[in-house]
Amino acid sequence: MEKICKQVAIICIRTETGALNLQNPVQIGEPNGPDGKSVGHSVILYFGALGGDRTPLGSKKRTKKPPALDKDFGQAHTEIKMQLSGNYGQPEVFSATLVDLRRGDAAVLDGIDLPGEDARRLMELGFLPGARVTAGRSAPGGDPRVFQVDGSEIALRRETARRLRVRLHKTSKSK
Amino acid sequence: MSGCSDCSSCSVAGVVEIPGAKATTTVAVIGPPNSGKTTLFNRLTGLRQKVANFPGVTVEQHTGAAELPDGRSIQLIDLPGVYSLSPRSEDEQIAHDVLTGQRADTPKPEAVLLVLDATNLARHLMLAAPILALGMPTLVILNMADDLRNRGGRVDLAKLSAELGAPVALVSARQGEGIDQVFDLLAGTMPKPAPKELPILQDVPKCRQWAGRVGSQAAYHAPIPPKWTRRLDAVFLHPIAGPLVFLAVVIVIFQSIFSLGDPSKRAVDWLIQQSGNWIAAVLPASLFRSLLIDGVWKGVGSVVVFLPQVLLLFLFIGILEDSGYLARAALIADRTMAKVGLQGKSFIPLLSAYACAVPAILSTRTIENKRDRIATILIAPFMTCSARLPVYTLVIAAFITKRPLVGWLLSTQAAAMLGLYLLGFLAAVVTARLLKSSILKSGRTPFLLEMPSYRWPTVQSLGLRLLDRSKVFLRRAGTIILLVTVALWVMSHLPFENGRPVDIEHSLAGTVGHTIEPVIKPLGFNWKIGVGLITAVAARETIVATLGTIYAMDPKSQAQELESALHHDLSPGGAVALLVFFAFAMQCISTIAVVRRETGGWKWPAAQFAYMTVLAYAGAAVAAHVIR
Repeated sequence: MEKICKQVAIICIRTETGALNLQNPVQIGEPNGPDGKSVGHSVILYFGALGGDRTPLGSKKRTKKPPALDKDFGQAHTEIKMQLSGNYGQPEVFSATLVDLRRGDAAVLDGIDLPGEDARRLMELGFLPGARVTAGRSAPGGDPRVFQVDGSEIALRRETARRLRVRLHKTSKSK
Repeated sequence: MSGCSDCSSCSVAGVVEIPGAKATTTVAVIGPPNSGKTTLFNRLTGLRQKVANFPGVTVEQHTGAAELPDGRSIQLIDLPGVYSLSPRSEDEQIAHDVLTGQRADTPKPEAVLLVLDATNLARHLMLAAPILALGMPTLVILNMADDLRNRGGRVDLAKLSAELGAPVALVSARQGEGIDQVFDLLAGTMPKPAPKELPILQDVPKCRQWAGRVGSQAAYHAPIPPKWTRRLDAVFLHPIAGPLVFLAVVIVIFQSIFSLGDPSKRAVDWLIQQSGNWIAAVLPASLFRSLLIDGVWKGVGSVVVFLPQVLLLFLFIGILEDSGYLARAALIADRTMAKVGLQGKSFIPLLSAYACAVPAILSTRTIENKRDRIATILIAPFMTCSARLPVYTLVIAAFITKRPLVGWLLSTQAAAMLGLYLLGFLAAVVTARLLKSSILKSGRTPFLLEMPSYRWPTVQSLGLRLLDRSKVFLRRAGTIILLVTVALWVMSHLPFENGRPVDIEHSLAGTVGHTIEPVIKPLGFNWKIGVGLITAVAARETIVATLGTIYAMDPKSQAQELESALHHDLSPGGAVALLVFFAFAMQCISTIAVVRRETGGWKWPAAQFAYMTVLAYAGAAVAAHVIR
C-alpha cells in the first residue's frame, strides 16, 4: 500500500455553548483514501459549537429542504469549515452525513459523532470507518431509512443517521 | 459446578474432552441476534421455545437436555443474542453473566456452541473473537446453510476450522440439515480453541479486520443479496403501497377473525352444548350436576368456544413474525413511536402485546434505556391482548348486527373490533406521551433495527406455535377460570335456606354484586356484570365464564344463549361502556406479577393498576353517558 500523503492537519476548534473547549485541537494524521492511496495535502480548519447537527456548509446544495434542525437536538450551532489547500490528483471529496444520501447512493463512512457506547454498537453492526454504506428504502417520509452495510440491512432514524459522517465523491453525487 | 475447575486445568492440553463421565455437562448456545440459536436449540433438545424472524426474540436463558448419540445427556442453555460481550441491554447482560458464570441460578457452562449466520459470516465472525478468548471449548456452527447455498455463497469449513482453532459445522437448523454433525461434535472431542492470534477485543475495527481476514482465509464467498427480499421491500416499503399493505394486512386479520373464526367457533360451541346435554341426561338432578353443567360446562365452556378465534389471531401473528414482515411494520410505525417519545425498539414488545402482555413485558429487556423500558412496560397492557378477544367478540356479536361495510372486505363487526384495537393503541400512545414528557423523560438512544431477510414461515413452526397457544389457552381455562367459576358457583349457592340454596340474586355472589352495584351503575352495568368485573381481575376472559354461569343459574335467562341473555341485560350504552372498560382496565394477575418482577417492586405495578382502572372507569362512564 503506497502512501504519498504528505501531511494533513485538521484543526478543530469547537465551542460548547459559550465556553471555549479545545477538544482535539489539532489532529495530524494520514487519512486513508477509499483506495488506500491518499494523495493529498490539506489543512482543514474546523470551527464549530457542539450540539447542532454537523452539516458542513457548502457541501449541500439541496433544493428539496433545508437541513431541518431536529428540534430535539436543536441547540444553536455555528460551524465554519474551510479547506485551505490540497487535493491534487483526486476527485473532489465532500464531507456529508448519511442523511444526505438518497436511495441508491453509496458513500464511505468517515466517523461517528456519538457517545462511545452508541458508536460502539453501530460499529458492531458494521458501521465502521471506511465501510461502504448504501442507502436503501425508508419508511414513508424518509425516516427511518434502511442502510446496507457489511452484508446486512440496518434501519436508522434520521437523528442517528446525521451523526454518521461520510465521504461523498462528486462523481457519485452528480449521477 | 465442579466442571469449572476442570476447564482451567485442561487449558494446558491441546485437546479437551467434554467431561462426559459427570452427571451433566452444560453447554451454552450463543450468537448474534436472529442467527437461529433458538431454532438450533429446539432441534437439539426437542423443546419448543418461541422463535421468529426478527432480532431479540429470546430475552432470557432457557435450559434443556439434549441426548447425544452415545446415550449421554448434556444440558444446553439457550441465551439471548449478543453482538459482543460488552452488554448494553438487560437481555445481553443475561447472556454475558451466564457465559461468565456470574448467575447464581445457572451453572457456568463448560463449553460453547457459537451460532453464526453463514450468510453474513464476515461480520458475525466478529463475535468469535471475544468468545474464543474466553478459553472454553467452542464449537462454531454456521447456521442457514440452505440460504447460503441457494444464494451462491460458499465457505471452506476445514480452513475456517484451522483458522479459528475450533471445529466448525455448517447446518440449517430450520431444515434439520447437518444436525447430526453437531451431535457428533458434541459427543466427540472439541479441540481447545487456539486461534493463531486474536485481535484486541475492545477495538471493534480491529475485530472486524480480524474477522474479515479469517473469512478470506477460509475462502468465504458471501452470498448474493437475497433477491426476493429486495423485491418484497420494493412493495412493503414503498412510500404509498407500503402503508396501504400495512392497513390491508390489519384489516384482513380482523375480518377473518370474524368470517373464518365464526363457523369454527359455532362448531366448538355445538360440541360443548351437545356434550353438556348428554351429561345432563345421564346424571340425576343434583347439586353435582348443577356444578358440572352450570359451573364448568356453561362457565368454562363459554370461554373455550373462543379458542378457534384466538388461534386464528396467533396464526396471523406467527406468519407476520416468521416471514420477517414484522420488522418492516416496525419501520413504518416508527414515526408514530418517535412522536410520542418512544424509541423504535419499543415497537416489537408492543406488537407482541397484541398476543399477551406477559411475554411483551419480558421482551422489553432488549431496550437499553431504563426509562424507555419502564414506559414500554407501563403501556404494554393497553395493547389489545388475546384475552380480551372473547369479551370483545361476545359483546360485539351480541350488539352489532353483521352488515358489510366495505363490501366483503370489512364488516361492521370487524370494524368495531378494529376500533377497539385502535382505542387501546391510542390509550397507549397518549400514556406514553404523558410519561415521556414528565416522569420518564430521557435522552435518546440511537434506534437500530436489523432488517431480516424474508423467509417462508414453515408449517412446522406455525403448527408448534398454535399447539403451544392452545395449551396455554386451555390451561388457563382449566386452572384460573375453572377455579373462579367453581368458586362463583359455590358462592351463588350459599347460603342455604331450609336445606335449599337461595336463588342467585340473594346468594353470596348476588349480594357481592348488589353491594358494588352503586359504583358501577353510572356505567350502565347491573350486579351480574359487576360480579363478572370482579372475577375478571384474575384474567379478563373470566367474565365470559362468569356470565355463562350466572345466566345458566338464573331462571330468567336459563334457556337463552349467552349472547341474547347479555343483550337483554345491557343497554347499547352499557355494552359500549363494557367494551371501553375492558380496553383500558388492567385485569390480569399475571401481568401485574410480571411487571412487579421486571421493575423490581410494587411501585410501578400499583401505579399502573390504579391509573388503568381510573381510566377504564372514566372512559366507560363517558361512553355510557354519550350513548344511551
